[in-house]
Amino acid sequence: MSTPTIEARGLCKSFGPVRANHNISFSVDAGELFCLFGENGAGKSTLSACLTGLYPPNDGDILFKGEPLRMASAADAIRSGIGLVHQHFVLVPDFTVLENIVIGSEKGLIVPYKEAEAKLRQICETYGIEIEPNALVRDLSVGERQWAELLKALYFDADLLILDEPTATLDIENSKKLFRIIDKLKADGVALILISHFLDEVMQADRVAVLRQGELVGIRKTAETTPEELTRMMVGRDVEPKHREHSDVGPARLVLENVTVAGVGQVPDLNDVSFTIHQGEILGIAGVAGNGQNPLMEVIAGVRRPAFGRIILDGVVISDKAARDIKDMGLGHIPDDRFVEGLVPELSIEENLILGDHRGEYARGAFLDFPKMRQRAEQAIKEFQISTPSADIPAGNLSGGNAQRVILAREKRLATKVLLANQPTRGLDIGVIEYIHTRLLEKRAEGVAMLIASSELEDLLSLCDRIGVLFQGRLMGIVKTDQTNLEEIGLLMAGQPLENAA
Amino acid sequence: MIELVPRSSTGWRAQLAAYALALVLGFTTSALLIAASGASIIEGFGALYEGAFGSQEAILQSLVAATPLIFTGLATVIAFRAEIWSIGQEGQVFAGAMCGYWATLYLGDAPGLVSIPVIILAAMIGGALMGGFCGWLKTRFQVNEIISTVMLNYVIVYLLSYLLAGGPWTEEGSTSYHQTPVFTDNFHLPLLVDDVKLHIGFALALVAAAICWVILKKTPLGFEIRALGFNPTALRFKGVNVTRTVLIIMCISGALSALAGVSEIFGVNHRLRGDVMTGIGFTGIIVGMIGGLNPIGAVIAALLFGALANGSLYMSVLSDIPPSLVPAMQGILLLFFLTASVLVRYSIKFKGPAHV
Amino acid sequence: MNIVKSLSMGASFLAMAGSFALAEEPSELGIGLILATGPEASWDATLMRDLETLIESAPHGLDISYKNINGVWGEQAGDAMDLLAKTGKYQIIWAHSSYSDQVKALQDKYPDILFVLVGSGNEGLGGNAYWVYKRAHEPSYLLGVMAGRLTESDVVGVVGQFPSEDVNDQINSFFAGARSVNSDVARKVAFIESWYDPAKAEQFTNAQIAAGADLTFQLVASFETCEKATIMCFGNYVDHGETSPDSVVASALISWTQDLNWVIDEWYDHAANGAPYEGNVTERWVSMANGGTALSGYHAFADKLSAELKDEIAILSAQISSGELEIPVDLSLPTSD
Repeated sequence: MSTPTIEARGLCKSFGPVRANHNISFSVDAGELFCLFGENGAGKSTLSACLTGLYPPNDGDILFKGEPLRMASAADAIRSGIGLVHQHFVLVPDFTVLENIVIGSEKGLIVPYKEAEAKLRQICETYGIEIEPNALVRDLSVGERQWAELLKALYFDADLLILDEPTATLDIENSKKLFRIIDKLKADGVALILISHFLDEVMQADRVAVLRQGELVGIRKTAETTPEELTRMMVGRDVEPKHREHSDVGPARLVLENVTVAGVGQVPDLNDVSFTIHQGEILGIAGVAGNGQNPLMEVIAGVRRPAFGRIILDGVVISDKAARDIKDMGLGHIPDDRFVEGLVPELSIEENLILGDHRGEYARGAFLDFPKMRQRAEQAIKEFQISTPSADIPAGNLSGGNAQRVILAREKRLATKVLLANQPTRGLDIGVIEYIHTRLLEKRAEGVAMLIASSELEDLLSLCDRIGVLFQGRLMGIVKTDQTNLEEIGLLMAGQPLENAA
Repeated sequence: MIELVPRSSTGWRAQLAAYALALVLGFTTSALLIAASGASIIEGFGALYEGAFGSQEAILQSLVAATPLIFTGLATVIAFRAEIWSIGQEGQVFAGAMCGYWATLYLGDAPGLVSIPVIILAAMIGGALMGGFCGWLKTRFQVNEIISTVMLNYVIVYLLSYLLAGGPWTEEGSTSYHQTPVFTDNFHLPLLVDDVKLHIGFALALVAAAICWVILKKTPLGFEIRALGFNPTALRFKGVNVTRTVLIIMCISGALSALAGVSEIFGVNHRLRGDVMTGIGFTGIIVGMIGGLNPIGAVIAALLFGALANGSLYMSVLSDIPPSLVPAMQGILLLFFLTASVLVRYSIKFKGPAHV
Repeated sequence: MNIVKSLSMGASFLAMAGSFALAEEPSELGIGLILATGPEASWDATLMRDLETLIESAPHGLDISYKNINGVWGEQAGDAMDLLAKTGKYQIIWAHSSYSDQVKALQDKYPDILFVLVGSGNEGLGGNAYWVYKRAHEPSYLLGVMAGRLTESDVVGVVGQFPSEDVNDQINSFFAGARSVNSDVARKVAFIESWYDPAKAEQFTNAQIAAGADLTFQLVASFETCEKATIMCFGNYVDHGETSPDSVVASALISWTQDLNWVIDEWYDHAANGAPYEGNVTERWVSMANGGTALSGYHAFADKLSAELKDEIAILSAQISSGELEIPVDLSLPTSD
């Protein structure tokens, strides 16, 4: 049997008392796609950092092509044949793609730009990556930046390529393209480690290692396992199938009439959108992010103004009201970007929980009502299982899932009539997603009208009564969840109009 | 690449140590400078100490010098905490003094009990309007507040110049010194300590600092100021009227600066003239920054500045240190202090290039 | 050790010594200077120059020393004077008249100290406060005549400090001189609103050049600007032709020697003979005839100026000195045409 490209033996890594990796052993062969699967915080990123030499392990060995791994820096790693494609971009915006790739990685003072450019173009052609090496990174789209990251790894003829959540910023089409490239790399004998928590992707690997709380739960061949088994291994228990209580749909609660929101140029951000959501009904909005989901949510919440059309809440026109008045009428809004739109990261959890109500409910005379704030915070932390040592921790220190719980705690309480949720589960683990679904469904049972935009179709199919699709600011159609299928929604998302709209 | 990374928190011991080190390094460098000039270091620093804290009189003089800086320091704290970069303190000091003076023209021989509150109120309104105007330009027309406040500083300084250089407020028979006649006694801020000119402005400054602290810590407005500084988007999403908050902040900041003008003109100089107010606003910005954008910190920084100013005065009079070296020393100490105040809040990270 | 306390003890000791010493002749004199700018500005520079010369000549056989304090404003200047007085080392405190309020508050506290207020404006306080005034309008008139003859654009500029009385008089007589020989001269007047600010001086000078001025009277000493624009200009207070020969045709000069002598004589009379101080409450200035002011030489321009012009200036100069030609003092606010 040939030597595996990389092999970990009893790897341990701790940060103080936190055990990030404990006694992990596995190996990856040349030409194999190996997946690390686990919840956020399960130890996937620490493991990849150990494999690339960023962190020295506390115990255990790493063998790269049969030799013990000795690396002083990431540049060392890349030169010896280990490439890492980051989840977060580490490109310099004011450098070109080419400069980002060669500077600091090439040895010597003089950088052979000409040769480097030729080699880069060659790679682009081989793998079908369309990117201009001389374009400034600043001018690239998010998706293109991901390709630039990948190119960086390919440029150095890596024997081992580690991909950390590579599809997080890619749309469906580009994700498919990425997997075509991965196939090619496999054929070229590259060993690949994919870090992911998307089951779809995970199942495309050859083998899957499931991590939970820093420990290796087990390794499975994908051909011999099922998504259900992997999920069970990851969460450590059976995931209950979501059961949606049928609630009676009441009278109309939120009505949009021909709502148009102006865009930057000629094209409106939202174009002539009309729909009705009834009491106790959930309307889902499917569609690739950036097709008008944010303007839709923001115009209903009063953060943006419609150029045309009306929005009516329980018979009252709200499209000319200020955001705080709409909020006071009983509207909650879980925005798209947790740490920019939803929270003030530097303020404490306690303070974030009263954001927006600091002049109302939580003010006593001219002052903030600190006892009441504290009481509210303690109750919310308990009720929403926010894991934090104290309510005084800045919200920015929370993980994505916990941050979303803080927002959920705040908005769920406000939403007595309408709840808007924009990508409520993006980037979260299955456990958290499940929890959020449960809490959202509680609101539905209370007769709240809900609008949920998500790029995860699974989300929508399991939550919504009806699903609408936004494409380039237009509502392509609305279908009933129990009368549709993935193909139909897929067509809508691709901009194909619907014949039998619900 | 060098990057400044905000520290999550710095203990008070570390802060104290940083500032103490800055003080030591600043004085060491100054000592070298003095030695190079051939003057006596001991004599120089002795005089500095005498002027700063050496006698009751000196201490009281230091407090007088600190008073306007407390106000402009607080004005900086309130605006900068919300990340509104108002540089208008200088002009607002002038505006406050000018509005206060304007009020005296209608007060005649009204007793101090009436006239002083009216003067203070008029000044605060003047400063608030000036700050508020820039706030309005910012929120209504997206005019950058740095530009508008700096420009308005010029406008107000030259307006005073016009008014005093032969304009309607000029003292009769003396166009040359850009000054109004000396105020009658009913317009003088009452003294806290006789003979040393420590006036009620100092007490007022401490009260203002306490109020600012309470506002920032305990009120919904302070909550908004802090949140606005960190993340205005989240506030907007939560329906907070950010426009109104910005206007209120700019008005408060302007009113605080205006009080510095009142204290300097009605508490110390007793006639309106421009040169005695020059620099109070700009120094206040430094005071606010060194004070860590915290009201209590600003008071401490202002007191240090006042002590340094009075100490420097003693140094230039009582020692043989060349006169041009004294402001240079002040500059050196300031630089070390500013460096310390940055290091207390940020750590320096040396980063390699892009590939990490 | 408490310096202030020991200082005040020293001061009272000195006062006692002073009363014993009334009959004796003083041999030392300390002068404290509190000026508005610093030695970099021409006004202060000339004073220091004349003071140094005077110290050499040792009037009344006095050993004179002085201390110059810069960079203090308003009440700080008052505190500095108070401190100077307390040390007992300074018998004359020479202050810019910006600080007349502060002198007024201190003059009774230190009756044996002679205070000097220098410059225009404010008030004559009398008693132990003397008022030294400078009027350089006479040489300014002569510069004006030269400007009127030399200008080709007929636009002449002045860049002044503040519109104060002892600046206005110079500007007004400068233009009076210019118009006495060339009635077409258009005036450009600007004030930089500072006693010393080279950056502003340059800006304002450039603005005047842009407005067509081909000659400027630089009360603010920004001659590089004139050189860059290759225009002629006139200097003020010190002989700028020495340092900027390419642009400065001539300068209006001032001298402090007589003022210093006057003040020192008054102090000596008080200290040695117990004569009461009798500070002036009205302006007192030394004319060109008496050497208070002068017109500088032409330096590099001596060869460039026509003989007629040099003769004309020489004649006018003699007439002013003899009293035949009287240049009126005009304090009105000068304005541009």
